[in-house]
Amino acid sequence: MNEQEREHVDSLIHGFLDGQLNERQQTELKRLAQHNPFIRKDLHALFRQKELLGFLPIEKAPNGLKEEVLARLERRLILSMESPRPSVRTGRFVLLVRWVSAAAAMVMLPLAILGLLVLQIVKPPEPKTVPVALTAPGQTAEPLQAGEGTASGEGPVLVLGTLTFLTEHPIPLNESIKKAVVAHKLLSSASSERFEDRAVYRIQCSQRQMLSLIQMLRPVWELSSKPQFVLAGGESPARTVVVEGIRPEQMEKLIRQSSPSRLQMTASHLERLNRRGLSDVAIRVPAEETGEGERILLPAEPRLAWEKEPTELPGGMTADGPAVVLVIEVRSPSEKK
Amino acid sequence: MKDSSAFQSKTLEEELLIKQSQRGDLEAAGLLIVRYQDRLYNTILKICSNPDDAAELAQETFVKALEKITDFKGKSSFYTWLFRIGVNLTLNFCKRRGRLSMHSIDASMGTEETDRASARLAGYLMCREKADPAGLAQDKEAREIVLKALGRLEEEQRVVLVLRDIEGLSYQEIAEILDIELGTVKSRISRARAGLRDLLEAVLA
Repeated sequence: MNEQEREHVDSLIHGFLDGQLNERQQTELKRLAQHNPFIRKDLHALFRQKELLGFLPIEKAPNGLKEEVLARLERRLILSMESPRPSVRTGRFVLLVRWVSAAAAMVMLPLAILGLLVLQIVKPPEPKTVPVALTAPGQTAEPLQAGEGTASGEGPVLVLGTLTFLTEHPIPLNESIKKAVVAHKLLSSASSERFEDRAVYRIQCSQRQMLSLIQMLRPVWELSSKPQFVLAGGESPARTVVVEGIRPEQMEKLIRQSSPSRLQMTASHLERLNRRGLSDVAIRVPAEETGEGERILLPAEPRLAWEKEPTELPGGMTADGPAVVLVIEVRSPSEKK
Repeated sequence: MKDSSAFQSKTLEEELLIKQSQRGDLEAAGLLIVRYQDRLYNTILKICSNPDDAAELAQETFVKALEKITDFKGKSSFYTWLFRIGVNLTLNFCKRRGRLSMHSIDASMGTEETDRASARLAGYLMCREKADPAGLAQDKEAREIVLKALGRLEEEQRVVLVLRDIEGLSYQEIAEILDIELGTVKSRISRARAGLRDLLEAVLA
């Protein structure tokens, strides 16, 4: 048997073992095997070898392989988020730019430090100023803490807090806020920032304008499932007050407050009120007892012990009132934290 | 008919798991791992001959596959695609490691059990006696001899033999996994079988 014939026979044998032969090839192999004991022996031996390999037991994967793979995936995901891909541009020009930048930084950094030192020495000492909060007439000013801030060059302002609208209709809600800002001519004192998941408006205006703005925004409450007001506690997180489900009239009440302490107290009161629910705290007086229809009595509002003056600016005030700042945030439900 | 519907349902389930994994569902990814971990590990182990390396390579295969699962377009079966990654990783690993540190087949010989297993194996493979291949494959000593002979084959021959005779893949699937021509698959399988037979005969003679 020459080499070519041997190769042909081999291909028939392996084709037979793998079930790849057609009828004609099978007949040919059968004939060859019948007449040649070597071919028969080869075929039989290879058949047995293949059979034995097929019976080798399947080794089980080690325990915990799945968990290890998933843990590795999570680790890699975290690492890929934390470390941006290094730039592949490492040509001569890029290296030169890096070298020049590093050299410039080496020169500039000591100069900047020296300049700062000189400035500290030469600069005349500034008188220490403590920003003061808005206070009711006749009261002493108190240092600014939570809920306070200063507007540069415009005197103290009362930072009300953050009003968050969780909504499935962010577009009409955002449009309403923009319209209200434009209608009150507050474009120059309002700013807005758009994030992927939310829009944030910072509005600074007089108390009267803010009241009017909130009144204009009353329909917006219908678009939000969970309006929330947060009065930040500044450096003391314990003082942070979150009023869930705040209503427009409650918001107006907060805006009318004349000082940070009043604001804090009123916000806490509203927080308790809303947390317990109106039906829990209100007392209903039937119409036959009042003689003028059903009446709902709400718990008395808190009042600072030393307060004698009205704690709330009157609804019909004639002046524009002090400056206030309100942050309005519009979020979609899935992004709400 | 029943088999066909079971196969269809399994395929649909797999498609669903792949789609969910592509959307980042780790639970679905976990189910895919469980489905293929034994077969993949077994194949890698037969190629690289070391359980620790095989476990590491199997993990790395799944991690790579799941990281790139969005690239899987369904042109081949998921199994073929996964094995392509696994086999290539294993071959690269073997190349880096250099020549496989296979022990001499004779090294473990000499004990009474191995002598007996060797005789049984020789009788079976050389068609001198009737034997039960399933029982022989379960015999630890006989199995060791076969696996060590397999480990001494050239890598490219060992891989096709594992994929064809142990894993039972078709020529077409092997060609896809190794990215080679169908004719090359056939010729490698022929050479690998003949090579293994020579090795075993040399040991068992």
